[in-house]
Amino acid sequence: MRLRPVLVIPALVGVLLVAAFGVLLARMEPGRDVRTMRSGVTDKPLPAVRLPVLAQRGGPVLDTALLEPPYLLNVFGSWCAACVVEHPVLTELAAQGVAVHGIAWRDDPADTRAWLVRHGDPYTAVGVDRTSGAVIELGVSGAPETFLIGRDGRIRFHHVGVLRRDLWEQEIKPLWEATP
Amino acid sequence: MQIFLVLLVFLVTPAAAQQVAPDVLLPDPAQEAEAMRIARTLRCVVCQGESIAESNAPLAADMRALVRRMVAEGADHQAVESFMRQRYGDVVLLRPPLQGALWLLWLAPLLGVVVGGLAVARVMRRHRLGDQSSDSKEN
Repeated sequence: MRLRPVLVIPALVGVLLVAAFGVLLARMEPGRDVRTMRSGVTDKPLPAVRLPVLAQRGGPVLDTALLEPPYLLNVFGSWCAACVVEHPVLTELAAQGVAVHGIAWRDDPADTRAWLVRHGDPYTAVGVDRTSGAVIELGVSGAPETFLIGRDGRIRFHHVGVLRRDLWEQEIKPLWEATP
Repeated sequence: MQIFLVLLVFLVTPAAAQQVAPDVLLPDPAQEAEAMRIARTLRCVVCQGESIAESNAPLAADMRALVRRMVAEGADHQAVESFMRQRYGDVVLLRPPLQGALWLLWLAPLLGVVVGGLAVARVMRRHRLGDQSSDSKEN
């Protein structure tokens, strides 16, 4: 029987679709959420963020204009379950001398303080953002999220979700060391 | 079992169920309507399937407040839209602008109909020709 295009074309389309889905499926890996939104702020200058700080450490306000880059900016909250998961990584990085600043998002300062007492406090300063003003400015869609601010004041890396050790080693650390 | 599942839901929600204060509407009804019209075109980045006008997510509530503030300060739809796009990218628009590969997505059904139609037309023509040739054989 001759292969007729009417039969071949739909079959070919089917095969191509399966192949495309296969590629997408293969690119999924544990710990990588394919639904997370692409960042709109990477490589853009860090917007000016001024927030009152928690417990009067490092000045009365957290002002991105006054912070000395490079540093990590981490959005968290005591209500955020996944933040507990990444907290040891931040603690470890802070111990290694990486400057980590925090933004406590939509959180009662008393709750934030209690949470930091319970889980340890890796932050040099913690800004309090109760109405999402700073968080929207940063293009944040959930907690936790972490930014790497380079020496040039630009956002070098924006990670949505839990900060894993391997992510730091493989993607953020090279940027940290090479920050222009 | 079902009861257990329902109870499980209550166990899981506290992380998400933050107190959201009721919206403070703009005193000017026209401005309020305009703010809500804009809010309906912006995607809630937490829930993604909803606009920030209808979402109960705390971030959506804060974004509504921000849109209201911008409108009250005289910002038009375009200004609010570009503000959000700069921070969240095109995904923040519920109706993303037609560009690049999106054209293909929109034109795909039309393309499918045209290609399919051509294929059907061809098959039918061959069918008719085939009928005629067999007719002529029989005669």
